Amino acid sequence: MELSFLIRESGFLLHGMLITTGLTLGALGIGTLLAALLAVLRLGGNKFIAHIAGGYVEFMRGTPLLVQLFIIYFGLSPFFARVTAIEMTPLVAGILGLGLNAGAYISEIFRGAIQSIPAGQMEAARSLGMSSALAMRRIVWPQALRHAVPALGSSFAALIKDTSLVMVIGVPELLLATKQRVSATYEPMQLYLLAGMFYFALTALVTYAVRKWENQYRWTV
Amino acid sequence: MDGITDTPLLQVSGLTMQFGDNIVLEDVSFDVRGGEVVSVIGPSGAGKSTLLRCINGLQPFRKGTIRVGDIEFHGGKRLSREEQHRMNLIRRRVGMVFQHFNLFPHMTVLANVMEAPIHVLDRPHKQVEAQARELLQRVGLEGYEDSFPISLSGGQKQRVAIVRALAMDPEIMLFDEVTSALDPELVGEVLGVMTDLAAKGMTMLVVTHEMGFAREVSSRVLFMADGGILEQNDSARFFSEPHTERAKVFIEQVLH
Amino acid sequence: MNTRLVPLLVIAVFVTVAIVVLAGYQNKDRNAPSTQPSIKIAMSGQYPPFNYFDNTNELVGFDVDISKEVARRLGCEPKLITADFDGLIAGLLAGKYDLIIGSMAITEERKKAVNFSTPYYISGAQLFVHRSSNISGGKDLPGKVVGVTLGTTYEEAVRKIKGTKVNPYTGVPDMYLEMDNKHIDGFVTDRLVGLYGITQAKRDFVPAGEPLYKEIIGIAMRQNEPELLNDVNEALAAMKEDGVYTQISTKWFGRDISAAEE
Repeated sequence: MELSFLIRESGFLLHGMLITTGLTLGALGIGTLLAALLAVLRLGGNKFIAHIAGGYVEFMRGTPLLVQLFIIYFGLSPFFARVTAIEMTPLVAGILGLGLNAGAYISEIFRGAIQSIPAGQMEAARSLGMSSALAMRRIVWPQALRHAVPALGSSFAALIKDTSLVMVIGVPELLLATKQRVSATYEPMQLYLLAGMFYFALTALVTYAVRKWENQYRWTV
Repeated sequence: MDGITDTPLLQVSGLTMQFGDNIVLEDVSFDVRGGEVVSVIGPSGAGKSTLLRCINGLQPFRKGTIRVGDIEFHGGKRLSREEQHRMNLIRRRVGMVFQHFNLFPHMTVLANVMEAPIHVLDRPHKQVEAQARELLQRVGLEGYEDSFPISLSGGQKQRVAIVRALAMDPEIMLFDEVTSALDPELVGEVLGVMTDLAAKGMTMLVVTHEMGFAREVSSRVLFMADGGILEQNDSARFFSEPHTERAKVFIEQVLH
Repeated sequence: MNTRLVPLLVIAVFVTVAIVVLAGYQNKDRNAPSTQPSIKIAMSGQYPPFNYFDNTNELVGFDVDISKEVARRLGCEPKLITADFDGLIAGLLAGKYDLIIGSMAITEERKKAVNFSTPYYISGAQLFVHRSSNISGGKDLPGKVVGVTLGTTYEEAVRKIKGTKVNPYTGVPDMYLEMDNKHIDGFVTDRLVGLYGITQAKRDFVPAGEPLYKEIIGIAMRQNEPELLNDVNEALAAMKEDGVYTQISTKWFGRDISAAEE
């Protein structure tokens, strides 16, 4: 194990790291917003819409992420370019696929958290004259969010690891970059260990950030 | 009695509510006039809490009418947008205090009290804050404005809950067994606040097991059993000369 | 209520960063001034010495040089794309790139899905074993464990040898490691790739016997583009005529690999 080798290879892997980070953040952004929307729709009054949202969640959770990525990248790209102005590059497909998938999983976390808030909270809010929407926004959601934080943290960490899957559609993220360096140097052990460390660093960062977020909530156990 | 107006503030007519095959309330009708303090007492399962919850729309009901001031709300299977709107208006005039407080744990005491006046009534922040602080002081909670509910005792929490409802300037206050979940030594401070409120002329409908309050502070008593009002009378006369057998038995059991 | 704004802000930051990364990635190509049309060429980038990343992380190799030359003769700017080998044809058919110049062997199966150019080199499937091994060729394989790369013709071929246990891997270096650990008794890959790799990685492996079969390598493209097929074949023929092909071949292999080894 030569230090100069490790340093040089780390430099090459850095671009892959950046792409992996971009994938994670983009997917998290899309996923969290989608999850919030899905949770609200499923708990809302319109039964028909609630069923559709529920169907989406079941489908995304019941099929492999890899299959979803293939469908999006190979199947949907012609339509995508026509509907939006963005070209469906592997990176776009990766962020979209990861985001749509994460959205389904995270929506379950939100839904569970909202349902765990005692009914009395909503009752008190409504008896004070608040509409359901206002009560949800100011009373239920903030509490649900706090309860969702630990589960959200695990989801985020899982997402970081899931990003390696997009390698199969050619996104130059960390794992693909590692494989390319392995072919070039014939040193799988060192390089995979290096990659593992990078992934761990990312996950540790997320876990730390989530813990900080948790500490914000001083008003509950 | 002094201070009691003639026109009823609250009118309940023909209220019927069932849960599956179980008839919880059957054709309940009564009035509450301005300034009255009406206690609702009776054995468990009589439908007392359900009655309160029907009045402010937390509990849907099959048949009947709720009238608060000039707003009328009709029950039914499906509510039109009109009806829902009317219930929202009713809720702004009717304050409710719950057995389990239901304070908002993620807000300070002061924020709890200020929340609805600001976001529902759109009142200016300064004015709401001033009123909130004054109300908290009146119930002896000065100094607790920035505490979170988690650090308060049950009695303190309930006092905050009362103040939170009062901040909306309701015409009538509903109390749903508000001392039942409190340790005995804390019951007094809450009853004290309620007595104070009554003395100042607030119209109150109180579901309670505290017979002392029912007898001394309320002006009238509704005795409920099996989903209906079995007997109602001025409080003094109810306790000294109950008419129905059921009421007699009940009084004997709770007052001996 | 500060505590409510923070998560929203954080999400906003997430999405913004992602959009910036996205935009930067797309713009990388747009910033290069080009007056020529471009042609996208795909390969795995994990196949030294044909296509791989060198010590400065540049994509280089025999296939890379051929790609650049073909593009030049077509009057196009070459854009080289890498993706895993077993996803290359799917990507081609989905229109993500226009040519595969990634050491893809011409087979009847593949011809059903894509068009192939005239061959641009000839090699063979070679079994490699430890120097100390007593395996002398394909006939000694039954009962042994053999490594192959996923999705290659080698995988198919070795699976046909009855009694052989086949272990698929995603790349050649993984197989070297498995050889070191004695998890596999041998591996099959392209003869030229194997010989090059063994020297580079300083391993004591040797080719066992003759190549299992000859492999003819072509450039793959979509079937609905006959003019492209014509143009590419013309480019290849021209390269061989004026000696550029021999130059490239000698640079990497010391000989002309358009014909099988003597």
